[in-house]
Amino acid sequence: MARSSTENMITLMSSDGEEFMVTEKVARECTTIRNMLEDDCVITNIPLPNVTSDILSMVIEYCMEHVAAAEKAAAETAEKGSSSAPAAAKANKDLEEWDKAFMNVDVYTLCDLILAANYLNVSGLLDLTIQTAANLIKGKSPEQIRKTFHIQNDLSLEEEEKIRSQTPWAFEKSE
Amino acid sequence: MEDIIDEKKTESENSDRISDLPDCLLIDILSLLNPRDAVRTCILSKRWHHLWSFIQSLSFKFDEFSGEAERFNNFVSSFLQLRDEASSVHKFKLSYSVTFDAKLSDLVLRTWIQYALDHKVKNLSVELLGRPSQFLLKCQFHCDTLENMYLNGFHVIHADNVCLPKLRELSLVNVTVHSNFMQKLLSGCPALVTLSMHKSEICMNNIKFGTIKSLTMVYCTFKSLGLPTLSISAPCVQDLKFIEKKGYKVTFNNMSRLNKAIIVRPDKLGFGRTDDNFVLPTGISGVRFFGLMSIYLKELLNRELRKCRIFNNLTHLGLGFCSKRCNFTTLSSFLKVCPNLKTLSFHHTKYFCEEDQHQEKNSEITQQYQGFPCQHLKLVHIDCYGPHERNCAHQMQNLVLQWTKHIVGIKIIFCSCKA
Repeated sequence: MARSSTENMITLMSSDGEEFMVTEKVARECTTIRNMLEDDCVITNIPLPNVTSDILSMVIEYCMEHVAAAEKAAAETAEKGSSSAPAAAKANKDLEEWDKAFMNVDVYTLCDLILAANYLNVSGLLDLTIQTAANLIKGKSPEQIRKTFHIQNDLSLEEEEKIRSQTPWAFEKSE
Repeated sequence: MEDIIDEKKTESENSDRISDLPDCLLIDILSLLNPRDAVRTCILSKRWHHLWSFIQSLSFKFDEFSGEAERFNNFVSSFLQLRDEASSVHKFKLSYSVTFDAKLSDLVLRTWIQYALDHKVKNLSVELLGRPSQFLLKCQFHCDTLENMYLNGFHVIHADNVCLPKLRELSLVNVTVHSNFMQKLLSGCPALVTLSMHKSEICMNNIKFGTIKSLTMVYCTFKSLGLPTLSISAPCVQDLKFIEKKGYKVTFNNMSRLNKAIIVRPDKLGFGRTDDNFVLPTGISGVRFFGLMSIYLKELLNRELRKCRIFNNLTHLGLGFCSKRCNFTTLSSFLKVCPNLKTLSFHHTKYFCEEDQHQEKNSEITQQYQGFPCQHLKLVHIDCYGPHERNCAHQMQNLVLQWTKHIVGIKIIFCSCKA
């Protein structure tokens, strides 16, 4: 099955009514959308009531970057007959750098991205955002974590003490 | 109007967005933390109180407890005791450094491993590093979900009977493997396809690996009644990696499906020995990829030639430790039976030079062997490990250049590798 040069375009509609035109290839990065397209291949307009325009544009940006990177790698492999290991390693590193820069967001946006990646089922983005959230917790004291994520502590002092005393082995000095 | 928007934004930025995420996503986040950081989230708020107890991926590292064995033991035991009993453990990883005052008993260790096996573990990895292990593992290896198991540093493993119907990959490192255990293991793991044993002591005379497709044995020692000999039968093996430098007598029978073989034999001359003990596997002539390193390369190759085999499928050949006595004549004769070779590589070439000086002069060699036997050869790799090999590797490169000059489009790559 040959692909036509004018690729199928899909319109994604965010919860606040904004429309985003993307190529089918980019849309297919979202497993949820891929499944919809496979069930009904004439669909061209997909409403996404769970995702705001800010977040949707970021998800699309992520998918476009990763599709472009995969296409570039495939083209290089086709051109040279085989992929050269150093070039592939560099491309991977560049993409990692891009991901890292992409994750330079506030925790509010990060949480929305986690939800969107989960809902749209973009496994690469879900892994990336979950790992970023974990990195923000890693090695921090409970107070620091609360501050980072604006977590409201609804435990009374007595309750907190009680929980600590149930798990003293977790709160021993750390190095 | 602007004020309202600003206010709204501040409010949303300060809202506790993360606690609104569904449980499964928060648990995924906690699964990426080390277990201690994960448990400590229990006092963030009521929402977080029990979340840690549902984590399904557990990785306990002794190193994170600054060598305090008692604290580590207490942590792991308490963690397993208080976590949600109904949640399965998909991944269980335990890494322990055995010190002289190790407080970890066989029994405690066994309880932890048994916990994982009883909680639907898929990936189980236990490593006991440090001084030679005296640990004895005696578990009920009954688990319907286990797919991948890695055990490192057990003196002995006992099993009354083994039933691991989904186990596909098993890796044993620094383990003493008795025939009793191995037999139970092989009969209790019908799906096992990948088996690797590193630095393990293998105490048996013969093994039949019925289902194994990929077999790796690296730096193992062999101990059995009488002579240290081992006979291996592995009818399904496609991929074999066998590295053994002491020159044990090992025979591989019934290996007709072999596709890729890497065999490394002793790199030092033993007194009065020529590695007669070793016979290349039956089925070796069917391989597509063959790596052979031995200072007795000449004997091994000649022995194969005597059996008049044609290596029809062979496209990748790597040779190493070419000794004084493995000259171009042997190599040339061997290459004649590899008509479809595409890539040839040489490793550890220092021995090759010595041979040149003693036997053949470069010019003689190229005169003698004009016309390289493999017309489809596209690539020759010469790996040079460290400065002491550089001269020899360069000499070899020149030789190969002259030898193969009539093959159009051939590439010769000289590669400086770190030793």
